[in-house]
Amino acid sequence: MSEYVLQTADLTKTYSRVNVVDKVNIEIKKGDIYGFIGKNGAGKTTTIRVIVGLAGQSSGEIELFGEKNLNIGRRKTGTVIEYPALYPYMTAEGNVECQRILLGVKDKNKTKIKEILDIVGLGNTGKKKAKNFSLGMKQRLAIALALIGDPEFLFLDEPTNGLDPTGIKEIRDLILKLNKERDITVMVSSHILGELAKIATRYGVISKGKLVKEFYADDLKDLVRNKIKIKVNDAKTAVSLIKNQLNIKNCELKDDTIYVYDHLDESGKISSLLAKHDIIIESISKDSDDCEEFFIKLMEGEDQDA
Amino acid sequence: MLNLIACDFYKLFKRKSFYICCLIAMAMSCLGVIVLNAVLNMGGIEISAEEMGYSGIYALTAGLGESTLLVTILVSMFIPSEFAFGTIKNIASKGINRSFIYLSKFIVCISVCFMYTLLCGITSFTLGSVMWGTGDFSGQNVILDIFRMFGLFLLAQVALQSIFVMVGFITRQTGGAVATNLAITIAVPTVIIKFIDFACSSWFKIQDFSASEYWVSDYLNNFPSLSVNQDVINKGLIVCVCYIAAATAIGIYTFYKRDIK
Repeated sequence: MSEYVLQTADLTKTYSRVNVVDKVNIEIKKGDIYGFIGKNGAGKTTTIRVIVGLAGQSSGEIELFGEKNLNIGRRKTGTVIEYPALYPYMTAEGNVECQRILLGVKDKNKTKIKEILDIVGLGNTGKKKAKNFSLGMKQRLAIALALIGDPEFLFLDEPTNGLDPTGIKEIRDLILKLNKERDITVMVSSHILGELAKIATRYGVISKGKLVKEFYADDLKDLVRNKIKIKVNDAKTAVSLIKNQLNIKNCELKDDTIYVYDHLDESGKISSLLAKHDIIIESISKDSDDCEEFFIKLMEGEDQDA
Repeated sequence: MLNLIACDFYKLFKRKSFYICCLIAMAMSCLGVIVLNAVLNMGGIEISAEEMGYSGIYALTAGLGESTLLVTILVSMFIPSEFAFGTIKNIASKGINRSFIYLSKFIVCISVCFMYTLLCGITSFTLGSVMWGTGDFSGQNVILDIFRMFGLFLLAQVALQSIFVMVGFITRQTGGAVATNLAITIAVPTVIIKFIDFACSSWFKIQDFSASEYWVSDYLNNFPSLSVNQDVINKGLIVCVCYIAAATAIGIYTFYKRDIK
């Protein structure tokens, strides 16, 4: 069986001659929580809609669970796209029951329904109709519907949109719980970076329909870690001096700029060492690029090398 | 497919509007019979119900048509609501063939036609029988004629509803579907058909053509009768089947072609 639950090859969706999804190649491994990040209108929702079959692709290929027959793969997925899609005149149990009937899931004593409602924290809503639910409750109920049929892969499109901080945390915790306890792979899209940074194990950044970068959460730490940036007239000598005389090993030269990743509070020592060896310092500064700035740069379409 | 149909029935029976429309249709059937009776006793007409041919059977033929408007309203709300609530995404994203989704909804709407027509028929027959007696069942073919009338009326109604299901899938909005479907019900026979007939006779000098013979609602009016001309039945059957086939084909095609938002 394929280790990838989703692979796309040059996936493209065109509306009125504009590529809103432009040759996107996504790879999601089993067990990932894939954070799909992009600004509003970047193509996140359209990409997901094409993958789950709500919109047809203009070109490119999609494989779900290593299968090119997507109807088979889509039966193993659960989807929540944009706003929670519920029957407002039904209770939480009614909504889940409806989806259960649709998927033909056997549940004689309604134990499965109760279990799923308990997982999302809606076990005690009783006869309250979905139209009277708060947005957070509606979002959790939509996830409950997606969980019917024991999906192996969940698509959650902007699941925290419009939620208050408590609601956001609840959804975040729920995603983590589903991933850890039920081994469900999750693709979660958002334009709010902070919420994804806390749960995603892998990221894909989309900008203007193009997937500009894919990387693991562990790589992110390297990509956004604090550093001292130094520009001098003789960079090679300077790197050698810093490494040998100050014993700073984590130092590199990239595009005529020296990056020092350790001893971040020793910029004074570095300055005086370089000055002592007649190296002219053009600039020395602490690079304060944080996670958010990094993502914003990517989302604006500035590709960065990992 | 069976799961889809079961799910659509579950949704239908959970809707209050299903029961409300049903009650209104039955009430309208009753009202139709009451109005007939009131007219009989009004203005000093001294003809008995028996002389007028009023009976339970007559009330049945008069009451069947009351279901059409209410079925139209229910179908116009039921189909687009899936798009309005966004719940069509929960179905279509599960790898279910879109033609099955369409056909499932159409089957449920046919069932609604059947239920409403049957209930309206029973209601008007019962009330008519209470007021004027059941009527003469002794004839050789009366029961058979009633079944035939019921079947033909149902076919005409299904043909009309097939258009409304198609409109629901195309407009994807409750308001738009209700407005369009009511316009089709009212404007087509009263304005468009008459205009086509006028154009044919006045401008193109075609005298033996009547556009209403090719519009399904003509048969909704003609079929609830125990003595329908066989030619009308034959023509009606062909027209209704053509409408059902064309509307379903167009509906499924557009549902396939358009993305679900």
